[in-house]
Amino acid sequence: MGEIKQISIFAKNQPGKLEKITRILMDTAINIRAITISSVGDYGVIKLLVDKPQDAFDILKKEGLTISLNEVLAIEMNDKPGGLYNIAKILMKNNINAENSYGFVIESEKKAVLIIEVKDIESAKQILKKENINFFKEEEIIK
Amino acid sequence: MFWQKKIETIGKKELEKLQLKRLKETTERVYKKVGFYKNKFNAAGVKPRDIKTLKDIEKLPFTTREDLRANYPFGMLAVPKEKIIRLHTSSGTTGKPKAIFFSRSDINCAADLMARCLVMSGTTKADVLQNMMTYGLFTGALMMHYGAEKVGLLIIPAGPGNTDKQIDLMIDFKTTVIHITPSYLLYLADALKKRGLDPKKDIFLKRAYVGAEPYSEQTRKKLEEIFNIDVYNSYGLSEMSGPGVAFECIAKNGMHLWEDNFIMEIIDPKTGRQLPEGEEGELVLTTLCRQAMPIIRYRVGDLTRIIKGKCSCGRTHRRIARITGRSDDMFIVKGVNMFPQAIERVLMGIKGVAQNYQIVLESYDDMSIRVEIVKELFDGSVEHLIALEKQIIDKLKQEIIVKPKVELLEPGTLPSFEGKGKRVIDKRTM
Repeated sequence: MGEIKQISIFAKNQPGKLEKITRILMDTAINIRAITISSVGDYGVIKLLVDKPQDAFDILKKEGLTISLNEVLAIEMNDKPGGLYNIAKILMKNNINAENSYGFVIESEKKAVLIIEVKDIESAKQILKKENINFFKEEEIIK
Repeated sequence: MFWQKKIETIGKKELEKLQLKRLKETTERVYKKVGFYKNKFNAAGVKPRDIKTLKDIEKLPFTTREDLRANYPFGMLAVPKEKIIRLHTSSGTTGKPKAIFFSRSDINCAADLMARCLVMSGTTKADVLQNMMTYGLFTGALMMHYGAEKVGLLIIPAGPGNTDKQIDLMIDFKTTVIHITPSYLLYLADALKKRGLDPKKDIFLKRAYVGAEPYSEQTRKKLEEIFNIDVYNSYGLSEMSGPGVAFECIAKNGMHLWEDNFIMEIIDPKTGRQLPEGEEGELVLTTLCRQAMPIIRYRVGDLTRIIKGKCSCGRTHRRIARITGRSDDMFIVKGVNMFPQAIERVLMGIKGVAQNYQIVLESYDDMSIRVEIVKELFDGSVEHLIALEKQIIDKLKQEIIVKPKVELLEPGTLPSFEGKGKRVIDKRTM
């Protein structure tokens, strides 16, 4: 529990790239729950949370995209002022560095999620559990 | 104006007689003194006594860049070591450099050729030369320096860089002639304008000797226009003695190649056969006066043609046209000769880089390398991609001196080639 699957796609920064990816997902009835794009000069990495990650991975790979499927932690936050601060404080205290992170709301004014990518996902999970942090189950996020 | 009028205006018959005499001497000497040539002549079944006419030069084997490298450091020497007074090395990026040796008479001879070039293009002892080429292992700056000393003008051995200081020198000492690379001359124009100076009026420049990097006729016209000066094209290479091998006279219609010092041939690079005068092919040069390190039929790799007809300046030495390209895939960026193979070797040694790559020459100062990443090694991490890019830049810079831009690409982006494909995209106008 806690780990969910995220898709990363390496792509040149050019018009039409995102259109192609999302069209493929639409055609295979895959729903996108979250997206971020990190751009470095001429290229970028698109990260996606989708409802059927393995299917999405297989189809995009078959389409020739440079893609990877990796696990991230989905941390539960309160959707109110200070919600993210509480988590960030605990991450700092335990010296956990998120290599990439993003958040979105699950249930307005109640629950939000912070997705983090860390080097050692298992140990981060153990540490955060001791701090009484809750994780979302995969089905809670991507359905 | 002439530096050595008699030899510069020598008649055709007399020149050919002199060439044949010197060719015979050179072949005999290298056969006796240089093991490499003895073996090479024997393998080709040719002896120095087989050279009876100038046409017989075709019987002699070629010397290649690889031969010079393979015989590094002393293998090509034709005199005892105590006779050599100077080492130059030729820049290059495929492994070992080439060692080029000069005896005292070789330096003197190279300086005379350079003096001929200077006088031929209008320079006199009343001029002031600011030499902005790099003094060092490269022959360019030093041979120009010696030639100018022969003519007797004031030389400012400034070397390249430190542009503000260069401009101060140009103004304080009323520099009339500069020796410079085309890219630096363009940069100098901008630097002058930034200081509020008009390159046409506020400096004393009359002419520029522009070389070390190829540049187009359009660039020459542009430089002449910006500074209101004469820009002279020149041709040279360390293996042959340096910068004064061929040079333009004031007619600016082709470069007179000093045929008393070199035999030139234009060959078909594929068959190795001589081409009729006027046809474009690869330039092949044989030294006739070099003592320390004579070179027979050197495959220079530059493409050009002989310009037919007499020149208005009265010199009889035939002219070659502006170099139009290379018979191999060497290219020059920031004055450094490089080969795609050297870049390929570096790229293929880096984990995460796929087979396909492309070298894009943006200008004479900038190049970018497009590389495809390995699909299987992509792990979604942006940090890893940035680290890969940095690793590629660092490793390339170590090998080729020039720091390239690197563009990471998705696998399958670049066209794939059968075997040895066209890896270099040259956006510069030749």
